Amino acid sequence: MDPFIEFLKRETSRVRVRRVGTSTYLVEEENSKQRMRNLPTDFIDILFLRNEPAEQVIVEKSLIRELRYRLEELEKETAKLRHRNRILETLLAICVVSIIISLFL
Amino acid sequence: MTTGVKQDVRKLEEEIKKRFVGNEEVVHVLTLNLLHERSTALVRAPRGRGKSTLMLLFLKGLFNDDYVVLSGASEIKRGEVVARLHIPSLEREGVEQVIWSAFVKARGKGIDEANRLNPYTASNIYHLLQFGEVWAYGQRFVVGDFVLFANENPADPTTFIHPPPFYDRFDVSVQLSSLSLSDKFRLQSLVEKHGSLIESMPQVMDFETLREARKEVSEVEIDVDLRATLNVLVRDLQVCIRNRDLSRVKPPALCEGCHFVHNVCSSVREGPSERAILVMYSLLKAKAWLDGSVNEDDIYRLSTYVLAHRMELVRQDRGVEELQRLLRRQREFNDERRSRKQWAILENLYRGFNRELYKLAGEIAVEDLVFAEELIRLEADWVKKGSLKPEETISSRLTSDAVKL
Repeated sequence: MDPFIEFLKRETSRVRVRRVGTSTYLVEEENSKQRMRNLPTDFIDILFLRNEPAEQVIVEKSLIRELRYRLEELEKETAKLRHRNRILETLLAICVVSIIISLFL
Repeated sequence: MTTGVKQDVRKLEEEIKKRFVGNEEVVHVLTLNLLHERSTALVRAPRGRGKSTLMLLFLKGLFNDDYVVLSGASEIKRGEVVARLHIPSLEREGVEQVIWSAFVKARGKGIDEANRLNPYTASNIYHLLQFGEVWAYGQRFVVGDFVLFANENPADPTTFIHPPPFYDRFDVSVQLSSLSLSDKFRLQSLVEKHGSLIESMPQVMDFETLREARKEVSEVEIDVDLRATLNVLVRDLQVCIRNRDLSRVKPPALCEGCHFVHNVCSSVREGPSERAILVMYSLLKAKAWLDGSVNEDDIYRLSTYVLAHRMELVRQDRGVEELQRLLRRQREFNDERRSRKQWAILENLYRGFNRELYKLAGEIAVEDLVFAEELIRLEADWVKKGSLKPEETISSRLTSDAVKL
């Protein structure tokens, strides 16, 4: 047998193929989902599960939009908190000054 | 008998390791490389790292003193490397009697500082390295089998720039690293013990025993999965939809706007030749024979030695690390291929056209050029039979990218 065809046949023997009428289905097995290495598209796993990234990472457009939205939201939240922080700092300073003045009166 | 030959080869490696400190993997790779016909190896390192010592240790262990070393120098001419005419015969009788050089006739050959050898002189031995024969003055001399070691210091200021075909003739190239602190102590003790390391090297086996080992290695069978991994790896490094090999523009400029710009191909300026496949195949056989096993990790480890001098990368300045990075990327891509089950899809399409599977294969093909090539081969037949319209084919979609150039 041609070694190339032998290789293809061996790869096929590792995959469950179901034929229903004229349709062919490649059956996804649970075990096959466990991969040895991370793939370039495993971006969410890298971000949220702290998985080790592959050498190159490929990201879909929609995911970029999602990430950009989340970043903007976080920046807005940070700006809001910074603003509150300033107000609180000012209030604290006024309180300290008031206490010091009250001590001398 | 088999065990005896194998023991001799192991003994040779051991004796060399007893005298050559550090770089254990390099010595093992060079030993494996000995185990196929007309083996050629290039040892690269800066000055004083033991390039010549390693070369001579191997030659002495195999041939005792019966080997010939060419010392690379620009004034070495063809007569010393290949052959010269016997002048008295020519003058008195008008007969062109060719005197073949000792280098050509020797079974054990060495080229010291190959980078100092005049490239025009070096070109005379290309045919010898490839086919085991030389031509001079219209006459042929069949050398047959041999062992050749060469070394060079790429940073040597008196270096000639040899063309890529010269380096492609070497089966493997190894880089010697400097010695660690403990290794330096070992080196001093060894020199104290042996005096001259090369003189102390015994002849462990003769050339006939090596040929016997080579014959046994050639009969080893390599599993088709490993062959596939190897072939896919080399094809990934060769393939280019814009025909890089014939294009005057090379990556990265060539890759501008290309659909495959993020693939491994865009990091390669000159891909490996088909010799790489044959050498790797021989090394895998040698590994299986000598070490008793060979696996996918070995393919990627040995590839560094087989590909480093055969390829030009876009980031050549990063050296071997860049090649190793590309190999890691290619391996990840190969894992993706398996998880996509694309080879099973191709096998089903080989058995007959199936529109649903073809659609799936088409989606994979636009991400994988090696897969696309195989799919395109099948398409011609389907178009001829009327199962597929020419405008529906992957070839029409992918080649339009190439035509845009």
